[in-house]
Amino acid sequence: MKISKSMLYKILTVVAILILAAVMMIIGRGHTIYLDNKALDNPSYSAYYRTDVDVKNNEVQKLSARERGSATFMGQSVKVTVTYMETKNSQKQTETFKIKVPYGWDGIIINLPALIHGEPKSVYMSQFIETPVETSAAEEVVVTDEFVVSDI
Amino acid sequence: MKEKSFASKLWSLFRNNTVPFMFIVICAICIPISGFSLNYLLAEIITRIARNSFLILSLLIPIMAGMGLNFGMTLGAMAGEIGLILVSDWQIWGIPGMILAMIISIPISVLLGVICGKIMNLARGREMITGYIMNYFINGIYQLIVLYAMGAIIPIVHSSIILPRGYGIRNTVSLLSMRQSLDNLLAIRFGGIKIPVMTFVVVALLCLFIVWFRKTKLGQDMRAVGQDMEVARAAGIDVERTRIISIVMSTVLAGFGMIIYLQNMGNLSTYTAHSQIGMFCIAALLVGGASVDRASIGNVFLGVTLFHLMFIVAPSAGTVLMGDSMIGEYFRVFVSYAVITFALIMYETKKRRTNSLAGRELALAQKEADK
Repeated sequence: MKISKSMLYKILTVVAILILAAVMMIIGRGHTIYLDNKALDNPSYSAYYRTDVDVKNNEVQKLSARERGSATFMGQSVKVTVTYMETKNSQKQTETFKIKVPYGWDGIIINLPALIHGEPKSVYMSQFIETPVETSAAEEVVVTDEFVVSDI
Repeated sequence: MKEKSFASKLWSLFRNNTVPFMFIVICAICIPISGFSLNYLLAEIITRIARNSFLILSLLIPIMAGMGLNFGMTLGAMAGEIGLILVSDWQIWGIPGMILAMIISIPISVLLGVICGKIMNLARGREMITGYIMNYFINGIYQLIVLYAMGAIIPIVHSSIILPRGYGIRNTVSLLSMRQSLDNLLAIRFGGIKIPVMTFVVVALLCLFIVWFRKTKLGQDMRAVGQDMEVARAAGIDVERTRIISIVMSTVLAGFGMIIYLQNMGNLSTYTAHSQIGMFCIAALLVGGASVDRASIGNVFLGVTLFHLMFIVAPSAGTVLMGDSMIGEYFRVFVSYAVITFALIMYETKKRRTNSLAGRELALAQKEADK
């Protein structure tokens, strides 16, 4: 079967659009990262006295022990810079991590002590599962009336 | 003699641009009454030009092809909304989210555009009313998909989007993750007024595309079809195909326009966002001095400025004059319908006058030939 030149252009255009869509799906995937400065049981790590966390988009989170911060970012990996003090009198230390996140997770919990101690991903990273808000069907009545006076 | 000629020129200018002049007068009266500062009005107008221009520009191509004002642009708006709902559920944010929504809207817009174009070819001469009624028909299908298929057949995961019963989309979908992402890209502030540079660049690119498209073979074909279908057919142009292409292009562009419009708004009214968009875009274009068979890029920008100026000042002027802002609200909606009616009457009157003049000239020529 011979493919004409115009048909070839059409196929190439469709392929280019599909590739663009795939790229957009990867680079535009939004995630919320939750940063926990909390103690961990297994393996056992205690929370730091103080951490300053800088996420990709320069949202600095100042977290004391047992606190949680959050930030949003797009893409499949995030650069996290942590400046921490183990105790009140210890020296400030800074470390930078590049964390790859699973595509399907909307929310990601990062345990900072486990991350800093070089634990594997399965230890420092877990999925944040949002608790659905209990609402009855009667609470939201669908309005399909198009004759509404609205601003444009 | 010279003075008379100037007066007749002025009269002709007024007669050909009655609607824009009428709006200039309305705005000139309402602006001082509303009490808004010039800075506020300028900021609002810039926002609204950026938000609406792309949608209104999508109307130009069918006018070029002689299909009148494309009330069927609402179909494209629905396609854009479906793209945005899916993208919101997939959590694709910002500009990539907008681009992906546009890509999703393309096949839906093309399909709807082809259906609309084919039906319009069957209802030749009555394209506008056909397009208008098509909106209601496709709106029913849109609601069927959004209200019942999404969540049940089309997977929708997020509880913030889906209705508590487990299927159907909520009345409002938040687009916070892409709110003004295009407007804020390269935006500059000038005297406290935000200028969404990137949005204007996108609008300018569409203007350039329209100017370029007019000069292409297909653009010339559309103009020929718009002037006289029979002559175009005799010249070997596939009239039906050309008309369908013009509607498909308009529908696809309307889908893109709706996405640009909604990213500025930051939320999507799932069941009502598209319902009046066609009406308001057409009214804005007509306010700019366009007619059913003639419209330019200049008409788009003049129209969007005057129409939205009226939209901004009317409620406040209504409050000052009548003590009730709802008077102004009703006034602006009533005016947009009135403008369309007025423009259609003007077009019909002009057409009849031209036909009658042509008939008289022909009769005169025949009489002289008989002599």
